[in-house]
Amino acid sequence: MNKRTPERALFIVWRWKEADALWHTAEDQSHLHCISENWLFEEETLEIIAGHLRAYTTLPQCLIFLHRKRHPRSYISTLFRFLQEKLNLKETGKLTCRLFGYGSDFLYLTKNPKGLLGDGELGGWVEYQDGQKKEIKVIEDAQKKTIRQGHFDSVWNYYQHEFKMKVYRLERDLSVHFAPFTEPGYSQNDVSLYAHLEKDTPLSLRLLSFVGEKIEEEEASQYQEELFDDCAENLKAAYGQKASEVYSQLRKSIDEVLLGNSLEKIPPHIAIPQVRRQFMQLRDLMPERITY
Amino acid sequence: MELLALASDARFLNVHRNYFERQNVRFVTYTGKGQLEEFPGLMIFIPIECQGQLVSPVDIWRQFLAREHPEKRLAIAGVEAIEHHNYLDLLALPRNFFDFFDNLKAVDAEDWIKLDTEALDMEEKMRRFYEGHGKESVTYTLSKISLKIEILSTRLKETGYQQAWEELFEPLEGETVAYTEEKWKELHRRWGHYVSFFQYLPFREEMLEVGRLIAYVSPFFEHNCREEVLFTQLESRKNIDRIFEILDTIKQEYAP
Amino acid sequence: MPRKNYKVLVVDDEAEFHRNIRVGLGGHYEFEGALDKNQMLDKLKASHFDLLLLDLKLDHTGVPGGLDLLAETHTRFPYLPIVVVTSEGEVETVMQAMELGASYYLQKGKSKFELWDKNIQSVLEKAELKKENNALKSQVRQFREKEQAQYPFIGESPKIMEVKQTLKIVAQRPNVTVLLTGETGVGKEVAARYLHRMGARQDKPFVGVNLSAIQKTLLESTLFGAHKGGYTGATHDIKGYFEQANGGILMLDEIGDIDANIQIKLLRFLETRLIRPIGSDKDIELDIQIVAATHRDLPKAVAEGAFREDLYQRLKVMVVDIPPLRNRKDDIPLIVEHQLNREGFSQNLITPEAFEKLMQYEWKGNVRELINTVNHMILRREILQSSYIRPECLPMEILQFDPNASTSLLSKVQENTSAPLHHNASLEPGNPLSHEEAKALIDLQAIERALAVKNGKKQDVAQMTGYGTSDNLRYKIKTLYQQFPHLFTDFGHIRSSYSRIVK
Repeated sequence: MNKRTPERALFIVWRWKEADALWHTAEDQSHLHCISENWLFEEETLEIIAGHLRAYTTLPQCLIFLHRKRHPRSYISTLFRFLQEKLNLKETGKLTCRLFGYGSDFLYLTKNPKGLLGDGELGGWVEYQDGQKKEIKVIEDAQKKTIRQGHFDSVWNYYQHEFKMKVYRLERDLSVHFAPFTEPGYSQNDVSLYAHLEKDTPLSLRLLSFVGEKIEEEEASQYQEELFDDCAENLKAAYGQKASEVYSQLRKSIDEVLLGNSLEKIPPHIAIPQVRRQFMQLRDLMPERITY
Repeated sequence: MELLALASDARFLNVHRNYFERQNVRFVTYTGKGQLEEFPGLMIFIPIECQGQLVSPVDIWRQFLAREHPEKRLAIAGVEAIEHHNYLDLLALPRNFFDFFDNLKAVDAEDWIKLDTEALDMEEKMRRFYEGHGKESVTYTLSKISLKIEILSTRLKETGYQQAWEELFEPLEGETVAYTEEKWKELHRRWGHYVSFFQYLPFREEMLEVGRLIAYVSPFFEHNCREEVLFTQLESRKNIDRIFEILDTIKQEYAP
Repeated sequence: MPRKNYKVLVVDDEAEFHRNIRVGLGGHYEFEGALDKNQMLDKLKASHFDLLLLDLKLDHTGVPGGLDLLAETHTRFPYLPIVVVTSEGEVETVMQAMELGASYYLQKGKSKFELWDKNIQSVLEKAELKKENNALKSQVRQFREKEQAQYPFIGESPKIMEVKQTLKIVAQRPNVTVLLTGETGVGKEVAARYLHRMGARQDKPFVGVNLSAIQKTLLESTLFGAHKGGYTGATHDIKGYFEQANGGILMLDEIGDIDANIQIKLLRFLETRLIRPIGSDKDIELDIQIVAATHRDLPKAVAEGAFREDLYQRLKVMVVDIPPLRNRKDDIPLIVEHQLNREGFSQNLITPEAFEKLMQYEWKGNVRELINTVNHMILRREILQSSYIRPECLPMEILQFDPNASTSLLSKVQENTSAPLHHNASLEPGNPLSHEEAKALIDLQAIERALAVKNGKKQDVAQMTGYGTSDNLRYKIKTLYQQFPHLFTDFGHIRSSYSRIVK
């Protein structure tokens, strides 16, 4: 490993064709740890990740990818707890864990030509939906163990910023959706906001997935990219206790105000800005930027 | 009253249609800075989302208006809770819109406060367009192409096109891709990444001209500058100079 | 006009840039290329280039690279003109490059390529001029060094140090007229040259004129110049000393000897800075610092009406009086040493008794007389086939001067100079010194003298006497004291400086 600690480290735990490998980008020395989980027990995988993280003199910003097939969402919390304990980690927001799998995530070259994963390896021949085949090189120099900066950046930027961006977009779209209810002189205080929300199916599904409601598989596959996959787990585990609390309060407000589960009616021009405020509080606790 | 409006999301323009109708305010979408003469001001609806990125053109617009149209008003509207003297919170509209509009701070006011949002400042985006990406930056690539074409013109005073082409454009030994053709592709690629951002900026029309010129001279470069007839007919030298000139002027003003 | 085929080294990691330059600038230059720093340095070391064309690169973050290389190259090859090529129009990068030593910059796309040739040509021409200028400057510097060696202002006595200090201060005011006074031979010209070396006009001419040495009828034309036909015999234009000294210093020695006509012209110059050559109807404005010198008593000459008072007033803005040698005898050893060194000898060549004679003499002819005397002694030593300069090598008037008998040890040496030095001797009156004693005495005298001159600084004394280090010197004194304690009686400086050894 380079003596200099990189600012960014990416871990992909996968059934790699090759054994474990460490790659880096030549320009800014970011690291990519490819961890082969063939025949490994979960505990062993975590030990390996912790071992790599311990080797850094200063903990970099880390993105850890686990495969959906082997790891349920709830596993994210297990991983955080394990690593926090093993590394005695106090800082929040340094680690993010995301699930991937089945060629449908931005990590895959089939989904993103600037992604990383081909067929069990970095890069390679990729077959697109229209049947076209193209070879994409992710590895820059196999001997020097370097990968292309552009591919690393693309994946990193997407995952590092995408989650917060999704939260931001949901907040924005809810605000736009309900904005007419906040106009001065608006008088129908007894209107069901949920009834209004239901008119916009994708938005209501996004909101439901955000609060951790289970989405029917058929609908989920239809709006997969917009839904909050491992959101609740990350908000509970990755950003610390405070974020977890704010997220809980926000869920409660959403449940009461927007999903219509409260008996008490709060006027929309008060309720909607209140939800917005809690969204903002939550975003403020997420250290990453949504722009890059 | 009619106001010029800049938005990447049409929902913003319509969400309070009833309110603005009652206030007798109508929005006309921005298509070019020439329109400014006809309106008392411009309202930018933020965030501007382009290619999945949030960007803010507010600062560039303020600079432009302060320099060219200091009498025009600049308002910013959005659904975020932002404290700013010229910001209209779309979730907390005033009873009378003109209480807000008439009290807007002038664009050339010394105490104008920079709007703080999550969005990336377009000035930064412009800098990346010009100087970012190292050897693939627009400045670098265009300068290489421009130099080549200039030398070609100089050589043509002394020799025929075929010889000049061989001297300057024929792939060197070991080269699989012709240098200038490759540089042109890079320029094209970079332009493609950024062009959609320019529609939200005051120099939208100038950038459209650059886009047109790039498309116009492309056939010459796509064939590795092989055809003398394309060089002449497409006025490649003149048009490359013009592209360089427009981009340089904008750079000096907005991405120094 | 055919152009010189300049040799240019092009540095860029892209082969394409080399191709562009070769094709674009082609026939006018002889190009060589380097793709990286190492290649560049190898080529620069291996052969001569007239110009370096360096493309400043952008690294992956968009920061222009190559500036470090530019700085390093400029430091290592300061006379090699470097033209940088930039891709971006950033003024800051260009400014940085220029500050780091670039001679010029070219911007791809922005600077029209048609002008590149012209610009590069212009840099090359300027570099040639600079080279010539440097060569000239170096010649001037060599001339000045030679001149300095020829006219050293030697002396460390308090009196001469004061003069030097005054001249240094005056040198900072390059428009002040200076009047140097002092007896003949005290070194007025040396002082004037010292003023020149120390001052703002040091890179400009120093012209020294001895006015009394020029035929009176030719003085005006010699000083102020003459146009062809300006007077009988003026067959061509003559540039006078004033014009020759323009920008620098004109030293007018023996100013007290000039006639009324020249006095008026000189006065006019001091008042207006203008001169008019004979036969010309136009004035010439000049920028000269006048340093006048005389051994005459000018106030007396003014009183007698031989010298214009207004001119005298103009000249005496800053009067510096150079003291006679007899009033600064501490400088005699230094001057003698300097002159001996110049002739290739060491100061130890002179026996103490001969030296004593030099110290006692009154030196009416001042430094000039002393230097002539040293030269005379060197010659006499050869004639007498003597290993040392003994009193008999001295001119008669010095040898016979100051016959006051001394009871010092040195006088004993003097008394024994005619006696062979190999005799055993005691120090009782009448007993000749042994050869070893005489040698020890010479050594001690040299040390004593050096201690006086160097104000007791032992390291400097060791250097001056040739012992190298103060430890060596101390050892020498200790050894001498163990062998010849009786010789130490009269060496006050040695006794006080080495009181632990010399009890």
